[in-house]
Amino acid sequence: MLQLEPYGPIGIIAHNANRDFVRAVSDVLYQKRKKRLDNNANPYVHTPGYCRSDYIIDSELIRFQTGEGKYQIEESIRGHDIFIITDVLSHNETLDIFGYKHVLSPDDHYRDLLRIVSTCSGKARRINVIMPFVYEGRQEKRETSNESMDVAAMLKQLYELGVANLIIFDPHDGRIANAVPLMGIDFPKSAYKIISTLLSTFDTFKLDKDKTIVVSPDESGVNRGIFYSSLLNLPLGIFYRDRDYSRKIDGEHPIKNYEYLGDDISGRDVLIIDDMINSGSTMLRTSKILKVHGARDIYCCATFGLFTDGLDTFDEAYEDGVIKSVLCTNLSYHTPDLLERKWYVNVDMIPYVARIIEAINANESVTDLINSTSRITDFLGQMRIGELFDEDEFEDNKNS
Amino acid sequence: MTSVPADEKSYSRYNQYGENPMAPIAPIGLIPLKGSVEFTEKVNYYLTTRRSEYQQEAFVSKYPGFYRQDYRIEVENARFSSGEGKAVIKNTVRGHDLYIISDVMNPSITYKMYGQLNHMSPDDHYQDLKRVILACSGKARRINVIMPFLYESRQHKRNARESLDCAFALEELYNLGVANIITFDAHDERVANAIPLSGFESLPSNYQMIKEMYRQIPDLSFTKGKFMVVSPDEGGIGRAMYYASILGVPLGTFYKRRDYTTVVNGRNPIIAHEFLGDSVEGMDILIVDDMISSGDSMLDIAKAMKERGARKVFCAATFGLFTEGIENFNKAYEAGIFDKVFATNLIYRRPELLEAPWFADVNMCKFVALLIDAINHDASLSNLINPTEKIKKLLKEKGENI
Repeated sequence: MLQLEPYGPIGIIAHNANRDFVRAVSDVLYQKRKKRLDNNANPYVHTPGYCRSDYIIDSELIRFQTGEGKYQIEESIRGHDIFIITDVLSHNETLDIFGYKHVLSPDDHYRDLLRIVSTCSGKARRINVIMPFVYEGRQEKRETSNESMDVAAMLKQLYELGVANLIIFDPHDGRIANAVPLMGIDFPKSAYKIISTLLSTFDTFKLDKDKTIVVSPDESGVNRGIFYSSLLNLPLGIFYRDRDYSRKIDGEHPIKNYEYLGDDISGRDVLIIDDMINSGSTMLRTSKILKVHGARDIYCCATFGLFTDGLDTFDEAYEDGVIKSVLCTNLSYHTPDLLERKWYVNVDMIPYVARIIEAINANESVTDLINSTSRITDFLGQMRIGELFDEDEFEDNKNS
Repeated sequence: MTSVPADEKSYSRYNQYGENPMAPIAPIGLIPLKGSVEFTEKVNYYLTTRRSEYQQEAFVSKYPGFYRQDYRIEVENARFSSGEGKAVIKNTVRGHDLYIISDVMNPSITYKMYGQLNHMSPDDHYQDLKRVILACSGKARRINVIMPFLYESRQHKRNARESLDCAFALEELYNLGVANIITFDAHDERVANAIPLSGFESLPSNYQMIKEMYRQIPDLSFTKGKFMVVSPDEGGIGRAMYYASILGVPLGTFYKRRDYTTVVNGRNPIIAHEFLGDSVEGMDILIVDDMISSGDSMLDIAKAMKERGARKVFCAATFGLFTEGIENFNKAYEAGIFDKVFATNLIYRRPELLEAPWFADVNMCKFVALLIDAINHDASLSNLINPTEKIKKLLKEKGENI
């Protein structure tokens, strides 16, 4: 595996807020390469800088008293293949501006990313950005004519700054790539990891079309629902918003009702799929309706769990037996509170991210890795999911 | 009324008292961002007043939208619960000459993020500015940005492997199609090198400052031997020198003596603050700087001046940030270390600062209104921007012997 020549020594850059995640990615990368070095697995293991115990570039994001900032690198990055890992959703860092408390916002993290990229450019051999949750990903179209198109502006800016590869997980709308037709932009999915975690955590959950159904909570997520249901060979149900098109409130047609389309739910386990849990109201509303229709166990799956309104409503729903479990990835920041919840399962994406970095560094065909459906034909004898995953783990699973 | 004699060039030179025959480029639209609402309200007042002075009815009626009671255009900078945002323009901006006013130094503005109240950082304000430009571009006739405190202006040079934030922000604005970027007392004007092709202006606030000093200090007199201008460090000499020469008074300066044999945190450590200049015994002192950040160095210098026998000590800074609060200034004032601090209303001032007896708020709104009027006429700004003539006139009126 990986017989291709690395493009340059890998250097990973973290923000202050996601250091732990990035540290773990670097450790996994080291373990993989160490193993390869020990086995003399390919001709490139002796390339300078190939195997290092720490790939993280020593650097600092500094904030001034005013809240403005700068970025400073403490070691050379000349000739390196730089991977910047940015989590714009992390809200675990605060700062004091003139005595006012400020929690670092997505804007701050984005400005920090620009600081990092602009400092590296001209020196690094290549700059890649891994931004699992795409900044402003939901501002992807104009509702009214006088609105800002934030995500497109962001993508254009990164492209113009010379970012070679941008990795985004499960974007709200993949058509944002239209903003940068020439950029290397890839959208790996977290579906494989979520499903394998689901199967290994819950014995009662079965990929059986008579026992389980996939549900999309609204019409905009239908494509995601179709993806899961066809790969898992499960039936699909969708909810859509029945709107009153005769009037408008706050620029939107008011929602009259939530209608369900699809197979019978009663007695079935339900997999609700969405790209993100924002406040969680959509997930919970959908769960409650499904429960009324006689659903058995309800599993809520989303790549990103934001829980902007806190966890109380989910606690209640769990205690009332409405939901069985919520699964989200560790690609975005999670409060320590969330990790302690009985109903929450954290899906570990760290080996994945490390694998993507390896693939890009060796100029491996990422498209093939991410999109091929033929590559993976069998998982536990039941699944076909076309996406990139960790080979080592795949081998382990096969052997067990 | 006309202070500038008529000549061949007077058609394009901005006349702040009389008629400006050059056609206005388009109807003005003032867009206040969150945090500059109050400031823009005042600017709008002065702009309406100024435009009501245009006498030639034919001229006024020829240009629709030239004279209006309210030039403001409402913008909503909405925030999602994750802290991301979007900008929505509430009125038409098509064909307008837009002036977007942004105060990045206003942490008093809040929004809800993850259910919690969050105070806005300069990054938040700056991204909001970009959002508004994104929402206007392609529709507005021209976009101008008035950013009194230049975002990241102190990150203007590279000492090590670090980011050049100010230049980068200027390039961003330029690439978004901003025609003019107006700021005040930029920490280092050379940041304009980043955008050699755009209209970048860094304007002084000295005239308004001196005017306010006359208003606040009854026995003010710029007489040689009684008054002295002091620069707090060698970097600010240029600014202080201007005051000293136009007021016709001597200059003193502090400078940082460094130990060049050692390096701490990438810089040579400061051994002492040395003073260069004549005796300050019995003199009134004006300490001039571009901004008061925490204010510690300003107070140190005021103290040093008092120790050397200065009579009264005044401080003038375009931006009074007071990042650490104003408690230490209150104490120093009570101890008689200084008499007055002058700072402009170009940025947010916390309420307790406005109430402090030692603080004088310098109003820049009228100047900004005139500036907008002039830019809208595509008039030559030089005699509006250059305060020398105006200051000389003011000093003459006050009976100064210069």
